[in-house]
Amino acid sequence: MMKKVLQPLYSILILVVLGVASLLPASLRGEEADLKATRSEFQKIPIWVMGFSPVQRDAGLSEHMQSQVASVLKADLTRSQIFSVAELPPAKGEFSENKCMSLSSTLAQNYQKVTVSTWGRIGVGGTSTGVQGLILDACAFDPGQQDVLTGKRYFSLKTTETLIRLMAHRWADELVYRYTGEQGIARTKIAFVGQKDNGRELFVMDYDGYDPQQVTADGYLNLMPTWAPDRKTLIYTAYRDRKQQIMRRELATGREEVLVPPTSLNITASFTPDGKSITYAAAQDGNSDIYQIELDSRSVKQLTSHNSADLSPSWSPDGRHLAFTSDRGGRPQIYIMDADGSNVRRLTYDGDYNAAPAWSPKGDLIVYVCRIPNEGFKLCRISPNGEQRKQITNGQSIDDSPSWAPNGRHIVFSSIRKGQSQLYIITSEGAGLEKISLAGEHLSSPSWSPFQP
Amino acid sequence: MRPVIHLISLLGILGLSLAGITGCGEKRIHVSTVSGTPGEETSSSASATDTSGLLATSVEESPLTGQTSLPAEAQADAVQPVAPVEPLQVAQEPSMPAYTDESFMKEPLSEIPSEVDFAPAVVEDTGSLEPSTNGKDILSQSSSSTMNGLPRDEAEASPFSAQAAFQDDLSSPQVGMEPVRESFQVAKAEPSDILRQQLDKIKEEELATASAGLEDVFFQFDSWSLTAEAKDSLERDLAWLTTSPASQLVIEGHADQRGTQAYNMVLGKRRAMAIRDYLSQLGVDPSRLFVISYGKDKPFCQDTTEVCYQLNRRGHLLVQN
Repeated sequence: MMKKVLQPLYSILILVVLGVASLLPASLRGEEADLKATRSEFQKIPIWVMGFSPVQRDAGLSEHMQSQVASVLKADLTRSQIFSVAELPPAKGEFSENKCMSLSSTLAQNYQKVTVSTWGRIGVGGTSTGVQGLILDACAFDPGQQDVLTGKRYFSLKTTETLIRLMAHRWADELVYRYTGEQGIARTKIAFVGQKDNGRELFVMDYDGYDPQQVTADGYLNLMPTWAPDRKTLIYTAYRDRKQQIMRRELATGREEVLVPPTSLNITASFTPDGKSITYAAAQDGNSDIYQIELDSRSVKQLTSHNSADLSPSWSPDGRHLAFTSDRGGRPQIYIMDADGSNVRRLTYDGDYNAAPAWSPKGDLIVYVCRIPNEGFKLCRISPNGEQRKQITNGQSIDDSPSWAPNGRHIVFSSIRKGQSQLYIITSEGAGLEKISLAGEHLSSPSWSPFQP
Repeated sequence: MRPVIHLISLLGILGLSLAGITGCGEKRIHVSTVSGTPGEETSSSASATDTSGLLATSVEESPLTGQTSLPAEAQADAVQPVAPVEPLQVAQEPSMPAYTDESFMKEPLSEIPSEVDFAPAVVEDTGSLEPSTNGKDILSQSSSSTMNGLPRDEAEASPFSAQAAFQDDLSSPQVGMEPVRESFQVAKAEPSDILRQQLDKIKEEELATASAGLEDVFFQFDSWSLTAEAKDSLERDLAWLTTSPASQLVIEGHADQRGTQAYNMVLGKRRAMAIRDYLSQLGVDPSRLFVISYGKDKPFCQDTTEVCYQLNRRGHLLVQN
């Protein structure tokens, strides 16, 4: 009986610790954030994805579509680095009427190996049900507490594979949130550049590589997309008449406008954290400098003015500092300056090539491309005070364009391996390397979207 | 808002769990660890039921204001055991993600297509979106409403009626129903006439360049200084420039695939400018010369061989008329 009391207590204590850590402002919780990010295999929460059985109602749900729920969910949970999906056989969880039932004791042998079990059922509604599309019922059971943790019903208007995946993503995010208090990334998007005929066009896909949609169709070069904080628009560099300009495109409508008129160099545009301005690198005749344009007034200010290349500005989430690449010391290195361009200080000293910094949305780390002898161009990360430097990708490859997931845990990047440029994700600790691009050639410049609004 | 709830939930949980060890062993403690998922549920509650009646805590959150209110007696219960925890203040930290109820409720609901009978009111009637003091309310609210205008009994007759939801009782502390739809839309990409014209023009320029016989210029790795061979090439190109004084040149700078895309863009620009500067020294009017960089994004070849790398580290002269 003592055991029975203590078991839930432990999990509660863990949650309290996690919860308190997440309440601290980012600047105070470097250590804790690091601990959370480095959740090693034994710290992960074991979960049993028992299965999602079909409901025999109206036809319209293929076996393939039905199987998507469990496979998408398992991939999401594994990718989260929060859960480890237990290798246990599928099993049928119970419902009574419309209620998730506590798991029967016949399953105890298996479910006691995990911290949480999840099951559900999926079907297609009919005219009698009031729902025309999919319905996914999902349950989570906590064996420690011998109790149903939560039940959710997701329903849609249509029956498509995209919607099935979306429902599974929502359930994964639900579980991640319940166990960490952090928003899950399973419904985020990734913008990137892909080869199409002779041009390079922008695309947007799900965070797991599914459903790539073409955004531009210029037949020419569109490069370096980044997201607006509201997730509705992309800004990018487009070539027009042998010049580069910075464009903004609203995804839903396709409406485009020129933000920075064409010159010989207009690159690495990114939004300020408040979404009101864009920072970018530009040059007419000289070396590139970093500029900022306010979107409403279109007033431009110059942040750097140095006889060297300054580029790739990336804001700290509090909007007080920018990291950028500069070769003012002879070789490209990462520097940090204040928001008004003052107080420039060098951040990286290891190696002779460090570039393309990306400041974590949590504020605690900056990831960048570092040249490592005998390996090539890898990803490294460092804290804004120059500590905790760590190489996070390894092996022979040319890695580029790191971009943080909004959870501040995952990073997407392009990598040329064996001549193929594809997109990968990894955590800031170097865990969970996964190729996420499923098709296409010469993929580059991935940019991870903010959370869904 | 979320951190507040979060903390309060945790305080409540801690309080309960402390109470749990100190003598209410058989008492059934019912804890929803973190209530709701951002973007999915607007009503968050940490509820606890103890059959002994010794302790009852509930947190209410109004979906309209996002304010969290804790009943006074619950506050006393919940806060006491963990009084030393400092971060209470920090919970107000504005840098935490703002999961406002507004963004949860209004956005998704207003986006439900109007031709479908999902009146917003219906969704508001689901337990997950209503302020509720306990699970019973969720049940009664959903029972008293109709989904899609169907009579209630018909809807409830089906195990898949969206409205019936999971009946709430002690074994399912959190009940949520959510409409799911593809809210993310990307307008179909259509090539425009202007862009077709631009592509046609580029083809013309390439043809003109080929007939002019201008030589490309090649660079060493990571360098933009002109080699002796490069200068020889430019001096031969000068002959054509002198005999075609009306023509203008675009000088493209390119890089191989090693290094970052952004820094290689700068490198390509420097290569193009080195060529322009040398041609100016040779007497070409700089106003005839334009520079552009393609970095590593318009390679001559795609192989990962030294030969291909060299071919891509180039300056390309393009006749523009």
